[in-house]
Amino acid sequence: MTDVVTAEEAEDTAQLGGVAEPHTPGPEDSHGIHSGHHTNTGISNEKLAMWLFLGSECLLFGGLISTYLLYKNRPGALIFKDASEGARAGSPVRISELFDIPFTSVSSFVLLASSLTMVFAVTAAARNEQSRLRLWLGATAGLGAVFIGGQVYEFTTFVREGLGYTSNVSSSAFYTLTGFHGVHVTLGILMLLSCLALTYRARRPPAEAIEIVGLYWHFVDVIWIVIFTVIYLIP
Amino acid sequence: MTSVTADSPTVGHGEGHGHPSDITYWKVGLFLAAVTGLEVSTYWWPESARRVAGVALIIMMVVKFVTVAAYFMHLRFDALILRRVFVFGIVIALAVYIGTLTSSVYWWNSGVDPVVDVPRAKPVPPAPPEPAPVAPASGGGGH
Amino acid sequence: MALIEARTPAELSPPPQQTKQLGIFARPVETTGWKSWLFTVDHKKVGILYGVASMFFFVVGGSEALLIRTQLARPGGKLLSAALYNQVFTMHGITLVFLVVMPMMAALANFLLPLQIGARDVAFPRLNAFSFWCYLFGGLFLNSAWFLGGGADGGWFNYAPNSSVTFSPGHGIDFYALGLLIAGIASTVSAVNLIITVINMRAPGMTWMRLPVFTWMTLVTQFLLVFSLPVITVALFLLMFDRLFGSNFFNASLGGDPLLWQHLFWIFGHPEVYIMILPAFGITSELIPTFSRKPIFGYPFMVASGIAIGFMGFGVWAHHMFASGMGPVAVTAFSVSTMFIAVPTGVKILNWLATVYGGRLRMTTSMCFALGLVSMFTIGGLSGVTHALAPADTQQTDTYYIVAHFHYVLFGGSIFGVLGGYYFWWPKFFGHMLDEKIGKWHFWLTLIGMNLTFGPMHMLGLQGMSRRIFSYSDGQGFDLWNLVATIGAFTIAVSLLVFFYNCWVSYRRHKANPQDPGPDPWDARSLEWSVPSPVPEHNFDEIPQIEEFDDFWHRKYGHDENGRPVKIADAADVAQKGDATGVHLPSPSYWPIVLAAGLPFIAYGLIFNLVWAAIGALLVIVSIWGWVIEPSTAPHAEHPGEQQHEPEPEGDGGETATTAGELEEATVD
Ligand SMILES: [Cu+2]
Repeated sequence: MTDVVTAEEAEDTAQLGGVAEPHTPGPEDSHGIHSGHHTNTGISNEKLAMWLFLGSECLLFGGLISTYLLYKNRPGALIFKDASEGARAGSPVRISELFDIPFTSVSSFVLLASSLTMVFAVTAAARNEQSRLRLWLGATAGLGAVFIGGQVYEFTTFVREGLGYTSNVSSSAFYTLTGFHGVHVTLGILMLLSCLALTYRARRPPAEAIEIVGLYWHFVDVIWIVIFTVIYLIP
Repeated sequence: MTSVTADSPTVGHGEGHGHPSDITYWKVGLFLAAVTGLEVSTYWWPESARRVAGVALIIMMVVKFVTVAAYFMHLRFDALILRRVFVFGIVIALAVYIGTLTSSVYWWNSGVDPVVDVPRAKPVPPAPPEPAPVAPASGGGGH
Repeated sequence: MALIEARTPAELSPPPQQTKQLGIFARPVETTGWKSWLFTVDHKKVGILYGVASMFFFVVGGSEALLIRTQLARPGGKLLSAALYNQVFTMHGITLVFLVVMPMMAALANFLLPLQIGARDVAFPRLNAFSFWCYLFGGLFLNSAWFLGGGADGGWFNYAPNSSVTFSPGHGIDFYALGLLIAGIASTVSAVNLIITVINMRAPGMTWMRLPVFTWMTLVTQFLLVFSLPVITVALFLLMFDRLFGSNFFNASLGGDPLLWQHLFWIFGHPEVYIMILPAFGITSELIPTFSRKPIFGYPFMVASGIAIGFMGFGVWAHHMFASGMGPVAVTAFSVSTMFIAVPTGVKILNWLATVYGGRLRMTTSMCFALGLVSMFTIGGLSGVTHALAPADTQQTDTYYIVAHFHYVLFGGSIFGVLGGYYFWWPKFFGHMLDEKIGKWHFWLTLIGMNLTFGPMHMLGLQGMSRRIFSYSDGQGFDLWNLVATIGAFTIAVSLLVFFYNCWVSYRRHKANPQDPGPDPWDARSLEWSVPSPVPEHNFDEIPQIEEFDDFWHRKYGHDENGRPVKIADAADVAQKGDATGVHLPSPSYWPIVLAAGLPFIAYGLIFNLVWAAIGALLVIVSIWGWVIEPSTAPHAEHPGEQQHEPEPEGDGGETATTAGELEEATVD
């Protein structure tokens, strides 16, 4: 083969951002984190794309948080406790008075813990430790599921207390914001499970995919950090 | 935009790839848990400390955010361009949304309190017996 | 950068390994015929598809414009009812903004960006194809509203409360919200893709300050898209929830704030106007140096002003809301920031003029359009500055003066730029030139037509004629200029027909008597002219090594002692031959089009019956999985020109890696 084709081969790999490094794979070489040496920046296309996407997501969540902040004290932002039980004259409460801070705190700890397990999953993938990787991936997905379960419980409790999606603008804004976050967590869980499935398909774990899913997962976590403080804790 | 720097396309290995050890991650995790605990504790702080709590919560939120981004998301150890892309998103978001939120509240100085004449075409659920204790802090319904 | 590197021994002797084809279905293999277009991932084909689809929507949106102008030609027009008129002008606006101008820019960006930076494709070829199909299906979905109860009727910015169910009980605005969400997915994915391409895939030596200006402006545009689209996404979701699920985000009577919509819309909407104009600036910055035979004047200023426009574009949105009662402080602040943003735009115009000054001009059709852009955009830009002055704007808002302004910048700017670009790059697209003589007719008809149409609207606006009004009565003094505008609109329509005729005639002539335009018919400057016309599927035989700005030009020309350019080589000699074989290219795939096809189903389902949404969701899920487990390059894919079959080294590691990468691609969606 001529030089031309060789250059093309190299370029092709670079284009696809693949980590196909054909030289003898040792434990060090399987570092997905260091892939993408063929690109101008040294960062793989996929990872850069994820960061760009996360930068863009900041504006999405920023918009939803702003919507909630704008509406949270609107005069319409009242619901009537026990309205569902017919106690029509029950005292009006603000949406923030319904928050069960201890319960949500536990949820927050769970999500935070899932970030920690995610970090260990990424390290395990980079070190090519299949069984530990599966354990940590499973743990992360499990913690995420617990968080989602908590959110479902929270929502049903609120609805039972009379705060529906359309009760008033602040409840709509609240459900929309936390709902979007919940959908993001759910998608994250699906991605984690996909990664878990992929570890059974190949000899080497998809280290870079796991790293990138990890970025997404941590992002969902930092968004929750903001939501927890701004929506729940600040009176 | 964020990538305007004249980094030559021949950059090889990213430098500074020191990966933290597992111990570091545990420490960071514990630190985050501790801060979260502190955050939650503000819920039981006395009513008089509300302002302080608000400020403290914002600070703790930023600390947690930065810590997760720096360590768990590797931003501290990764290429500069990733940080730039992400920070650019955050900065734009803060700028435009703070602009939006404040423009209808604080930038308003025409002498009319927009909250006073809130439209009452269709009151929310059944009318309460006594007027609702509404905080007139924000809002501006009457445009 | 290890692009040109000898293989290591390990690579040279791949273990004879049996690679299993992942994925449930066989892959598409067609290289010709309609299937090769449907399943292509080639950035050039995707670019051409964008171009064709945007032309189709141009005809649709243009016909709507003709309906509007026919209705308004005489006082008391009877062609359209008020309700239908609302739909027609709304759909005209949405179509032209989201389905014509943006995709026209995407067409050129897709086709040219990899060529200008010396790459073989974009970073994510399949995502690129997905972007196109997503846009096309989103556009068809939006327009299908015509047959399902009527189009959106709230204007393209669709203010509350007109967007509420009360005032727009049909499904038009649901189509608006969901259709724009789908189009937004397309634009976001495409923007991320192109940004990564430019950041990561430049040829060796192609540093930031050697990038062609078109690449720069397109890059800034894609950043604007990435950071402004999520804002409109929020707004559209809130609108959708208002209309479909009964929330009251924009319903003032129940505590909602109509101004929130305006803020969110224009935080996106103002960057959007730069998204539509910056690539046209980039095109102009390619055309003018080429046809003046001078390097672009003040390249660093050109780049910096583009970036400055990008940044400042996020800080001026509320100038669209001066009449909304924001309060005097906000009005003042945004008024000032808007005046500032005129500065970098002025820098660009001065640079173009300085490039033309003293150049040896060749008045080709492309150059005519480029100079047309400079003059028409300046008119539109100046009327734009008058809007920055809040007192004047309060007078002009919602009159035809505004319509005149933005048509001068969008038609006289964006469309002129794209048309000039089409004449310029046509040989790169299709391997033959467009007829210059017909092209001149096209240009003059377009120029006269647009000035006849939009010039009088300044007068109408200042006379007080409201925009979006479906009729006017006799003695209001609007008769003359409305008639002139209508005549102008039909002149533009004729000019478009002339353009189509030109495409057809030039193609027939080429078929009858093929003439190779050669790699560099215009004596141009950037890298795409160093490969044959039309561009071979693999773009570059050899990835070029870049030494300086306008590298290709400097391979052709040296300088004499007076600094005048002296030819040192023929373009044909320094250009590549395009005959490399065995180039490993990304393989076609079914999944992008299937995945994109799922989205309109979901949207129909949300409006009519959730069963459809379930079908759509199923399609999406299946195709994401198919996509994920399908390697982006088929193990034995070859360059189509090559006959013999050579096994490619593709180890297990490579396979998982690709899969891993693709999983990521899928998540971006
Ligand atoms: Cu604007």
